[in-house]
Amino acid sequence: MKKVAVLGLGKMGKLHMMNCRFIDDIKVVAVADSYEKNLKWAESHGVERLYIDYTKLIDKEDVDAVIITLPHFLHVNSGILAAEKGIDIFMEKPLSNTVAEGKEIIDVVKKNGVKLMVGCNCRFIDSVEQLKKKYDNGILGDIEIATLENIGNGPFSPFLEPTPVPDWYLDPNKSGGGAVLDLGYHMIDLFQYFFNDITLEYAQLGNRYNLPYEDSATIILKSNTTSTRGIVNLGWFSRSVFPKFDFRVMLHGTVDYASTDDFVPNIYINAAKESLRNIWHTILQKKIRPLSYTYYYHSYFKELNYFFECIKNNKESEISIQESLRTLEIVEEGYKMSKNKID
Amino acid sequence: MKTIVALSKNYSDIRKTVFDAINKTEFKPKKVNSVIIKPNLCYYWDSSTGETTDKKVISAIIDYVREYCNPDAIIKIAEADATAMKTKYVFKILGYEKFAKEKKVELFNLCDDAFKEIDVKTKKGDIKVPIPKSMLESDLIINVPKLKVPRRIPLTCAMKNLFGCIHNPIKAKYHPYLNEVIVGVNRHIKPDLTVVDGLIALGKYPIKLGLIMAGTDSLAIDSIAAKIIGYNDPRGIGYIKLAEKIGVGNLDVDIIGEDINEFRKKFPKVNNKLFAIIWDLQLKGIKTYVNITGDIVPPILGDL
Repeated sequence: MKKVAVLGLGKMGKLHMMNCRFIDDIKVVAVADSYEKNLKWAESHGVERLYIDYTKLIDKEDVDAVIITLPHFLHVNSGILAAEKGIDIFMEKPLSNTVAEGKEIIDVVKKNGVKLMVGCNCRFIDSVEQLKKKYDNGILGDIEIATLENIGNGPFSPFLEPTPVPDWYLDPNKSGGGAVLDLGYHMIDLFQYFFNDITLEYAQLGNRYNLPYEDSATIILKSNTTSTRGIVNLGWFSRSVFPKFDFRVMLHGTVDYASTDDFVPNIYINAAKESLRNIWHTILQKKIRPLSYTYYYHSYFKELNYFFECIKNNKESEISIQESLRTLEIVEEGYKMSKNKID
Repeated sequence: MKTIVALSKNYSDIRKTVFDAINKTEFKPKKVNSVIIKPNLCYYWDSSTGETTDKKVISAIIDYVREYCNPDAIIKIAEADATAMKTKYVFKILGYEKFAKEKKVELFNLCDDAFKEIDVKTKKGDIKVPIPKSMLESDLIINVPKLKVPRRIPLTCAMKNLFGCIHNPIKAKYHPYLNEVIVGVNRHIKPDLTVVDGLIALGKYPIKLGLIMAGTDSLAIDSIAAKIIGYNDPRGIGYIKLAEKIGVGNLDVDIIGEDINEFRKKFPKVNNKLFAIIWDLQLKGIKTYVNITGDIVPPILGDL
């Protein structure tokens, strides 16, 4: 049984903690969060050791792995402390706020021989997996252009009851950036996942909402392996409501074209089908597919499960440290390029 | 005695439309020194979504005050912190900081103001509701609400926008007695003028109505808003019925200007009750499913 700690119990921390319940031989034994309300929530779900201060948790607890879902600016310190103690790390994206910080984490990770995987759940969305398979089989031919889009509500609430935005999210020194670091990180990672060895050609940022950073962006990437150009559109400006999800990868090939949208089922039919399937599996005392009824959220379980498989089998993650750093480099180059070109 | 509600329509020349609407009302410009303008900045989504007041309407009102009341009046754009919104962020995010500099007006968080507690009678007894003093004592108070139908409330317009003034960010505290508190607040806060931003109204979806509605009586304004969103009898809305019952405002209205039916036809009606039933059923379905399987609730739904 691997003992796990979760650092940070915001929405993502809670989600990962709950997903751990469905992974074999994994037990969350400790959590850290600065809000007592969140600690009580964890306690109500069976976690016994609770910490206000994540550094104390790392210091005192003898755990095999940590899931870091702290605010972005704390990734570097928490990552280094965990690695120094020889603890394997699942880091919610981004790796860190800057490339320099990312390198610091990676240096300590390598020095201490621990595993580090950055959460890139988009790779695990069913429709992305199916598109990747189609591309890998050559059915689409060579891909000349890929468009990758992810437009959402960012830190704002899209839903019935508006929810507060955490203060750290509106402080650029703490959040590290806006839509590019948040959503762009995923889409740049996906382009890299499909086409390898990528460079940044162009970046233009938008700021409709007068945030201290960008709330939209268009980025052009290029693969040095396949010569594919990737046009990435990102946004935090849409209040469109779940289960709508303005996310897609579209590949334009020399033979055919295809989009992740082609593989996304009707969300309501999928919810009914997956719910019934999971109820049936519960009756038969078989494993369920966590959050498969939401379609997109199941990917978070898959990525975490994959991380723990890598630990248990002592294998390297396909989301490599080098790729994670490269993604961050592209993000940072994008910010620099945009500052140079746009007033 | 009848009160006037003016309807004007034009999406291109907003300043002219606002002036036109105000000039048709009973509002009499007077020499004033302190002016409060209260928009609806309930959250961080901009006016294109139909959620918040368009700065162009506020701009026109500022021009009107400077032109007809006092060019040197101290004008404050005021909003109060809410459960999920902080004014320090909303003023910045929605561009009001830059706008205020350009128009030489001040931005004011009503939760920073001194307050007076008012008593509101509810079915569960009297409760105290804190009201910012500026909303009671300023020389001129102009209410600039949106015309919209949020998912769980039948109408947000003039009277509900003043509920947003309450000197307590945790406004959810008053939701169990919403009708009583809306009416209670409106008994004490009497804007001299209300100018409704219906340029983009929000019903089932946002729609470009191009409407500016103005008047001096909040209840009268809301009764016409109720008709636009689909009520034949505005008393179908709880707080309007209650306001009439206890004599807060006037339901005897003369509509001047555009034909109300044009806006009625165009407004995307939303059946809140049906929506609530379907939504609650979905949530109950998810809860039941989660209880059976031990599965997880997606973060977007919180703790359910």
